[in-house]
Amino acid sequence: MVKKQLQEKTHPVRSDYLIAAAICVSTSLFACGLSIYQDGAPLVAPPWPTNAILLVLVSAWLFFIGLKGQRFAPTRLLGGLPFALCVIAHFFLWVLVAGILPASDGSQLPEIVRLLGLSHPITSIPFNAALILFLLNLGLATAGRLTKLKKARLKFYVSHGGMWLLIAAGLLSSSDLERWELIVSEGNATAQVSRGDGSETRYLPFGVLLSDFSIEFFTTQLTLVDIEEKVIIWQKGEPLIDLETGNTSSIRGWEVEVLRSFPGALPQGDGYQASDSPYAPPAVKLRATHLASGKTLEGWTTCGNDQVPTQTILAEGSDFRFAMALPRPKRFASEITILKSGDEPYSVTVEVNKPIKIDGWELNQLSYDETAGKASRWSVLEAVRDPWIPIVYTGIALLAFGAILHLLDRVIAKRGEHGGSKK
Amino acid sequence: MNLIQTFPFTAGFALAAWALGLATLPRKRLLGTALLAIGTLTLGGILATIWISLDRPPLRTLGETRLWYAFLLPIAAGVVCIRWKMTWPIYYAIPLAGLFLGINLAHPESWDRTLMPALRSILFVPHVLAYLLAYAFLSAAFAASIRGWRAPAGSDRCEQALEFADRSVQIGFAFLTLGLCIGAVWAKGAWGHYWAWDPKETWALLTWLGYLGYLHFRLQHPNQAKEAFLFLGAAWIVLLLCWFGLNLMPIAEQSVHTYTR
Repeated sequence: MVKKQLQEKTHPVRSDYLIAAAICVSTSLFACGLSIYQDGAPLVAPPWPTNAILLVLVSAWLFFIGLKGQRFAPTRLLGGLPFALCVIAHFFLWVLVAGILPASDGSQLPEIVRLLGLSHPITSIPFNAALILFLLNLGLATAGRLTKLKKARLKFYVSHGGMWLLIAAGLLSSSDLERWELIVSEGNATAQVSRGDGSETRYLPFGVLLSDFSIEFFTTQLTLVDIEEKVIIWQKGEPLIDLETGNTSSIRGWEVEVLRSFPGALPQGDGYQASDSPYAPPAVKLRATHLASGKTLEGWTTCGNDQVPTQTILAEGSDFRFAMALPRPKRFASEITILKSGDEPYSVTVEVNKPIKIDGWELNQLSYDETAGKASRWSVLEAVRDPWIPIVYTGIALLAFGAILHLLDRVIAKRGEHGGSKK
Repeated sequence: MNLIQTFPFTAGFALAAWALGLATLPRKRLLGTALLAIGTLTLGGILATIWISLDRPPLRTLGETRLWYAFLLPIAAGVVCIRWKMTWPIYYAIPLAGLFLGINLAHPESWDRTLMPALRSILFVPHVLAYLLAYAFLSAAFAASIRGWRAPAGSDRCEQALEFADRSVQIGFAFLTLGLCIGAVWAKGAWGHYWAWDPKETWALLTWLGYLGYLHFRLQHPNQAKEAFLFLGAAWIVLLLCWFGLNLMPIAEQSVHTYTR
């Protein structure tokens, strides 16, 4: 009797798995076929306002199904746990492909990979088909539980609903997302922006004048290079010696003392003289004493730049030279003036992690002339426009809130109370 | 004395305290617990010293994250042990933490003071700490899966291990989700977009999906303990690939998350 009951209970689950697996495999096969037919073209979301209408329609449909369609077996199956497990596994496999195959122009990859759109896996049709299937299950599972609202299900609604909103908005907003590079030199203004690869340009509704570009570096550090000055032979685990006047440290049997340190210096005679010129690289005078032999040597080293050649100090009797590592940026920022017709110009500072917002656009500090270092006279900003960001952030906030609720629930739960119970 | 010179002694002291604590715990519980706490606090002291010396949070390199992990894993196991009155998880968590600390001793750091501008964000510490807490709890779950796998199916030992694993995954998964959300908000400010499909992000999503799968598997199959332990082992491998393995893959060149030097 018990065996018969168990069989009755197990068989529908097994058939649910079979149907779910068949749906996943068929979806992938169909998506692959479609991708080959489309010559590997990416899947592009419809633009505004079609994408917004689509989101509203799909949400309404899911809500309707959730309320009215639970008595139909297909709805229960598509929003059920066996299907959830299959779509998670199915989506996992396609994400794994994206996590292994580097994005490229496809020229290095076999033709079939290009045809499947896998030179850019995340925009490929098969990848997005798997994501849509994932969304379908997530949406139906969430909507299905709306039929019987329970306080205990709050964390479920919040985390699942937030995840659905985040993925759906992220997917549908891809066609409205604009990312452009804005390159501007000091004292000049521009409203022109271009794609990273220069393939396309457009104009922003405002102009950007670069008043000043400033950059701060960390104190330069000592490194070791081979005799031919071609390869850095300093290894992780060896000390990183800050090249500040008075610093003393030991490395590879030598005691190194920093006698003089200039943040900017230009060559003069046998040594260097401090200089405020932006074209002056840092330079230091070192004294190195070989601890075993007592041999002492002194000399100047600089990392150099376009104007000043690199200089190193040969560690006589050893197989390396003392050298100065390239300075590393600590902070860089652009002081810009926003020019808008009809408005007074105003100044703002754009810095990494501190973007500014203007008329629905966000300006991020991206880069600068890295070869010139502190002499850089131009700045690269990124102009981003993503009208869906409030919806995406709502999804992220709900997901995070759901995670906190789950966390509190687990910490408060007593032993023996399984969080895994179906509610 | 600089960090390079002092680290082997202080980390060695922490390891010795843990080893003595584990050896003492079965016979003298109070002394054993005190020794384990001393070892963990020593590691906390090391992290605080490094933070102050470098004038930046020591969360940048893989070695630094390993150190945090070795510090947080005993705490995660301890929280679960105290909250749900178990002792055995500590016998798995401490050796695992010791292993990670041992790797740091075998591959010493240079303790670089520099921190790239993108990492100079108020969200840097919460993002990485949320992930490390998640890794600590999820590793505790993996340890439970080993214990459960070795026990006969249906035995009390097996059921206890499963219960512990479930709790650890539920807590770890919540931290994993929080880390993901904080990272998305930070990425928007630093790189202009909340999700760029950077290889590290892709593997973080794979890890998240792995444990999401586990949680759903447990809901659907509450009585299949052995399969659940296998699932946990596979998910932990994905976690390790995301944390360390990615750096060895060719795709790592496209990642902005490689801060090793």
